[in-house]
Amino acid sequence: MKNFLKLTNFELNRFSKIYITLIGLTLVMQTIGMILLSSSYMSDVEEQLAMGNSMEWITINLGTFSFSSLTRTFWFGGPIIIAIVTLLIYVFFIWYRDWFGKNTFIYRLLMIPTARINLFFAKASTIFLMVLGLISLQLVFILLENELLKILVSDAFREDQSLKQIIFNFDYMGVLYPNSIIQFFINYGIGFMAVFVIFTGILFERCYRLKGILFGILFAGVSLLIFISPILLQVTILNEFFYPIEIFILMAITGLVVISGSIWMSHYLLNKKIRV
Amino acid sequence: MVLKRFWKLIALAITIVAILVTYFIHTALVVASQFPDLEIKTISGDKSVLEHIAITGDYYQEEGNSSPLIVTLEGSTYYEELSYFEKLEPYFPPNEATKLKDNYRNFMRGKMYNPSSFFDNEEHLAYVGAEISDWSTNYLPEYYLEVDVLNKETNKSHSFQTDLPGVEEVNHVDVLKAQVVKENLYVIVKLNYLLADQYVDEIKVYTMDISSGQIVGDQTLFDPSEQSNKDRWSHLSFLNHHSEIGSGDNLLLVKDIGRDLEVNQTDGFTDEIKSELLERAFYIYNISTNQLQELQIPEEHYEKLLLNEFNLSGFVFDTHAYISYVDEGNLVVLSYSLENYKLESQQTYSLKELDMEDSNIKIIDNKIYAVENDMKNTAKIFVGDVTTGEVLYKGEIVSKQNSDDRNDYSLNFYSVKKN
Amino acid sequence: MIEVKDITKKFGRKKVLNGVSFTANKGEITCLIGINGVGKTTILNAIMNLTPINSGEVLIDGEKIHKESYEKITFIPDAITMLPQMRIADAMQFMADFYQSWNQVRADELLSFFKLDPNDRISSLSKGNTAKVNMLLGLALDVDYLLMDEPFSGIDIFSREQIADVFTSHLVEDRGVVITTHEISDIEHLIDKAVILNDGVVLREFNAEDVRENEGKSIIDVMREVYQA
Repeated sequence: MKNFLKLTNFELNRFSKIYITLIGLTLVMQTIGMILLSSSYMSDVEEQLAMGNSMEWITINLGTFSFSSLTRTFWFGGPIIIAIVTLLIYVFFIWYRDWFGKNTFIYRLLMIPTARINLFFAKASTIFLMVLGLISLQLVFILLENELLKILVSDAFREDQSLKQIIFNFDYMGVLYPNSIIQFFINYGIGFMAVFVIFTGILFERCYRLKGILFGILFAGVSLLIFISPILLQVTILNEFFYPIEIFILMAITGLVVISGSIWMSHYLLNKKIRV
Repeated sequence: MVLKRFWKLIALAITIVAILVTYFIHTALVVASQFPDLEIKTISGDKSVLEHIAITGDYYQEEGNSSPLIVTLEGSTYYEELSYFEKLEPYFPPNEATKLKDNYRNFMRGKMYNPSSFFDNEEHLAYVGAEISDWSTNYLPEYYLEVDVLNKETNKSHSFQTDLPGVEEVNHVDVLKAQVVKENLYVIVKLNYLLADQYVDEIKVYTMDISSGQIVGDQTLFDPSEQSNKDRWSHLSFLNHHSEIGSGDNLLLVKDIGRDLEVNQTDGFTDEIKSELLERAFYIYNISTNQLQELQIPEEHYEKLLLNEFNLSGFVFDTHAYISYVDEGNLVVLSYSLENYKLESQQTYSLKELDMEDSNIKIIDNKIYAVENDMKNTAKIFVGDVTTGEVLYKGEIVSKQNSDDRNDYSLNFYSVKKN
Repeated sequence: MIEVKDITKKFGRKKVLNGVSFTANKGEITCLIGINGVGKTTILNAIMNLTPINSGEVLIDGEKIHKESYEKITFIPDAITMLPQMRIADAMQFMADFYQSWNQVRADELLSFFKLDPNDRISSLSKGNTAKVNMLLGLALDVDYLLMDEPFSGIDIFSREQIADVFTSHLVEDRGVVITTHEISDIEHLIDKAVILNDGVVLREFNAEDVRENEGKSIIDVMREVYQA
């Protein structure tokens, strides 16, 4: 446990510069976006006022300014996409960086007097923590940017939105920020399960190289089949046999089977088949 | 020392936990405050008539939030406020068929929870579902009947599938009623199909032998060719309808005949089609005796029934069939005895003082329930006794918060149910 | 004692190790000798469970390798196994974090012996100093066995001398050392036992002292004999 925490902390530190850059980029781009969009909107408004149009006429013809005016633009979604893509790449890079270069760090990691599966858990935890960290901080950023909006755009032209409305109006945020805590665990549980399976796939490649890519893809395919097998059965031969709650329980079980299978397989590969 | 070296890990973990916990507490509070708590406020009468009654409908908010809801004497339940697991139940509000699931969990697997597809008595629980096996080349569905009969004594079920005899190209099939009488299962289906360029309804009564799974009787209640008159349209409707698992033998049917008139618009471009109801006849069909009996409608009611095409409701309850309509703020109920098919009593209640424009009507246990359906943030309730004509209760569904600042929502109630 | 028993290893169809057996004792310096590509590094990796073997087994004091074994045996590969952006101090902290057998007193001793500055980044070190740090990270562990892969290749003559001095010092005394080399001359005098490899098999395993005394031959003489036979 101690070694696991030390390894996790170590892995986190290795990526912390890029991670902090991502956080900073998100805050900076979204803030700049908010300032640019709101000031261009306000200058349009002032132009119209100077032309003698009434406030009502302006709110009807120019529209009001709300947080959604920002969320629809690249200024807001761009950094989120960059962060998602970076973390997706890092899911692979977190392993491959240990093999690359002249100073192959994987020698050191594999010779640490601790269960090798701790490496797997530490790397997975690092990914999870970074994902959840970004998700959490984005919530705070939305609130901060919303306060900024209140300063930049006067009441008459502003349509205030609650946090829930902001999330509701921004499509893919619904997946990232579900209303119910159970849905949250389901969404992220599936995501983290996928990370485990990808990790195992990477270890297959690291153990068997070219052939391993095939094994890895096969492993991922079988994992997916096992996970969705209750649904497959439901729509094919069983003909709506299961009640929704049963499907939920079955998929919780198959999900756990996939996760344990992935951990067990990784444990085996790390102990018996790994190559430096 | 530990803190210093692990500060990134610790800081990140604390940030995540603190923010996410706050977020979920916040969302739970937002969801809870989003939907107003509704209650039933009595204007006059005894609210005990609403015990075991559930009023169901939808809630709409201007900002786009909406949710189905149930209002009872205990208060309101919104679908959106249910827990994740409660939401997994496919039907909200629950109906009589979904309740069967609790007692007959295995039998109810894979069935469509349409109450009219079920029959339930002491000995049997039967299900008949019209299911689509395939789509034909001209995009018409190919139906078959999925039948499952549970013998409650032996706890064994017998299921089979059968084609619909005498049915070729059909647009839609609806199971109106299933009924087990001795060894036979009677199934009443309504078919909709094209006959001589005209969509017609056909009501068929199939008799099935449960043990062999064979259809042994096939009967059509009204001749569909009567409906394929070019100048007239005709509809057959089933009044004691889908929301209940009836164990009674009688079905209340209405046959409407009307025509479409083209009314020339003054602008000369568009022709509006106006529909006119010409004839309306009511029938009781008794499954056990296989008799179709027309109900005699007194002249003064007949005229008004023609004028109020869409304000009609009908029920069969116990020993009586009821026909009810709303005319100029008056709620009229005609009660027919199922023994002799004679009009036994007629009651008129004034809804004017309650100012109910549009309402949903339901008769349960000799009481008539009317719930206003006017997309306002309140809804009036009226309850009357259909045998005596007595007004039992007047009330209103209102927000508990009782404040005028929440005018941003509307309520649409569409059904009254026995709970 | 490290016992390597009949290990085979294939890379694809090519058999790199074809039944290699030898032992290395505590308190002795055992040298695996062979030309490049003969599988010396693979043997060390196999001993450390860093690469799977197709058959055979490796025992360390009679046990198969397990996670605690890494407190007892360590491997110094031919390149440093620390992140280049780390300072020497960070690297030592990393070792102290994960190894109970890490001996900071000895590490400090080695630092001053090698004249290294703990604040230097690994990436900024010369080849020789990098090799010294690599050596330090292994030697400062209180382990019974030390494996070293080509400790002298590609570094300057002075660093080489310094490293060679280590072998005669108390830093190595009482430990079992296995080193590989393709170039025996520099360290011939240090070696207790030689294992000559070729084509994936052990051609000869002998005690250097015995051969010198009984047959009057140096290790190079034996090598010549073996390879030319």
